[in-house]
Amino acid sequence: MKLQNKIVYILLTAFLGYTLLFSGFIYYSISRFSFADFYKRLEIRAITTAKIELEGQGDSNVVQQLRQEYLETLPNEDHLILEDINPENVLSDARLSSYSDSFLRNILADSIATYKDQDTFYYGTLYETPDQREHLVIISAENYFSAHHLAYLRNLILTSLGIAALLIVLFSIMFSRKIIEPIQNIIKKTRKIGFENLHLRLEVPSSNDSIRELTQTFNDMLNRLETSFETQKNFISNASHELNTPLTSIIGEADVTLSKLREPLEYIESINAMLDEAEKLQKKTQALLLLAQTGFDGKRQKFDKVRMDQLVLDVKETVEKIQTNCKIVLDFSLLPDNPLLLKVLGNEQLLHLAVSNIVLNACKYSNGQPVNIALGVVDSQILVIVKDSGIGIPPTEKEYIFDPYFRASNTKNYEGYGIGLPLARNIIRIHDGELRISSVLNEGTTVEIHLPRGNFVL
Amino acid sequence: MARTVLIPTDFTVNSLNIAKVALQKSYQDEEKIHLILVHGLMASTSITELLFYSKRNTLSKLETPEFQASCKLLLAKFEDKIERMTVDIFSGINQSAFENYTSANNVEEAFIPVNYKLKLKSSDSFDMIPFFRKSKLNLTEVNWEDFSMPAKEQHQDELAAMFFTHGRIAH
Repeated sequence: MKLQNKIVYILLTAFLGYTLLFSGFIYYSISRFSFADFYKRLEIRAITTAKIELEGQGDSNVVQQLRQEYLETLPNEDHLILEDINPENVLSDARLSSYSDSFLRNILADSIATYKDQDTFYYGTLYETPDQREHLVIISAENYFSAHHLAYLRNLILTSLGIAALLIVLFSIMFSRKIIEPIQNIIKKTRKIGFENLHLRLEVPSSNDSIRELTQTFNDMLNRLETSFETQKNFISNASHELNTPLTSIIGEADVTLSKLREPLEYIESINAMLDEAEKLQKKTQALLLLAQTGFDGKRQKFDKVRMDQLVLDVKETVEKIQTNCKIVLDFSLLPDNPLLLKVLGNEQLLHLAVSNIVLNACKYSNGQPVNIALGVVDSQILVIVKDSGIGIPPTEKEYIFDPYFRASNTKNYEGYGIGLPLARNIIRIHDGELRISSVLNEGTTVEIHLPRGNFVL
Repeated sequence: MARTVLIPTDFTVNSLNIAKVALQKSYQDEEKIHLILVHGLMASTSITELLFYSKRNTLSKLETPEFQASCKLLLAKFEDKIERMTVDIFSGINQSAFENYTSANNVEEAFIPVNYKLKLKSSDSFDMIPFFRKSKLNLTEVNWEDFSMPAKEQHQDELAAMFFTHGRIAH
């Protein structure tokens, strides 16, 4: 069953059940009340009638006057008085044949009884005159209220129930739509995300509810997916490139050596050179394997204490090894004295990969001009600023820089795959951080890495 | 007892370099520092505006997130050095009002920039440097240059403006 229908049914049963119960209770108590009230009216009439008819003298005139003045005649009012009855044989009286047997018995037993036959109500009592004689008084009348007002009430309740049901159906359909809508939106948007546009993210609603949690969970999952995808791609492109260089030199060396017969010393020299290159190759494969393992070894990445100042120094060293013409200037002038403020909960290899990717980019595009790295702490965030005076990013292309494989139009002369920046952003995202980039074309780019500080104690 | 240091500000990150130099200069001293960042802003002439005047609201309109973040950067770095850091508005119109302000706040020292011209953040802002120069405060002139790239107007408010600067006391 569709979730929307389920919600509609649940709401419908709950609301309809409630309204039915409620209106049933009202109808029942109103009719109960009207019966009790009518029997009281019959009772007062029975007593006055008995007084007038049986105690013909004295104040019965007053009673008669009062009755005529204040007690209206009920529709089809009728009364029967049996004077001086004998409780044993009164039941066989012919005048009582039209009344229900149990009613008469009740009168004799309790001296008061009531019963109702369709719209006519009967009230019977044993009346005792001052001279100790008992009389049977039965008064009957038609209950106009129950006949007409209760019918009207019933119709009213039924129509309002119908209207209420209609409203409830409308309301629950609208309600369920409203509930379902954001979920359906998520489904729609998630369907659009595939292998080729894994960088897309769901819009996180501002309201603080489960839908927000759901989208955030989805986005987190996409972050992890995208990162591992791209680490893999990065790995492959890095690997092929890095492994090719020493292989080419080994092949070249071997080719040249084999072109003619040589002296043993020359062979030793060239084999030594090949060995050197092969060792380099081995180192590189090991490094690449390590790089790959951080991304997709199937296990959950281990998060640990990472000191950002140490990491920045490590990155500087690594980058200077890869790009030998790069000048990196560190600014630790606003580095806090308290080392606890500099620790991030994260995966060192991944963070190293992210920061070194950003610094490598800065080096690559700044043509030997110095690249500045600064470290500071703002509130509970650790801030790493990488500023270069390179070629910058064209303002119109700024929104695409995080798209995988996207390369800005002014980067034609530089080698690259368009993977570094998205990968760095994903790694920062995994650490709940933020990557901000501002750039002016031909003047330089500033990258701010905001990382949440880990709550460590000494 | 902390020493109170008065520093003019224009709510840009770059202008906080004055505070950075000032703090670095007194880094070795034992005494803690109460830093007052002051901005010259004319009081409104409208009675209704004065009636509902709130310094906090006025300041929150002037301060940018980057400025606040940079203040926190300074606080994190000099957390043992700074006793208190306040941002204030000065709305006096003449020298004696300024003297009054400094004596009321127990200001002992002030730092002003030499090669940096403070911006007038709003139309009511005014330049406070002449007041600083004429006052009898222990005045230090501060100079800094951005070595990362030639200073550009639009970069005054980036967080990076706090870094990559060679600050020194001007002679």
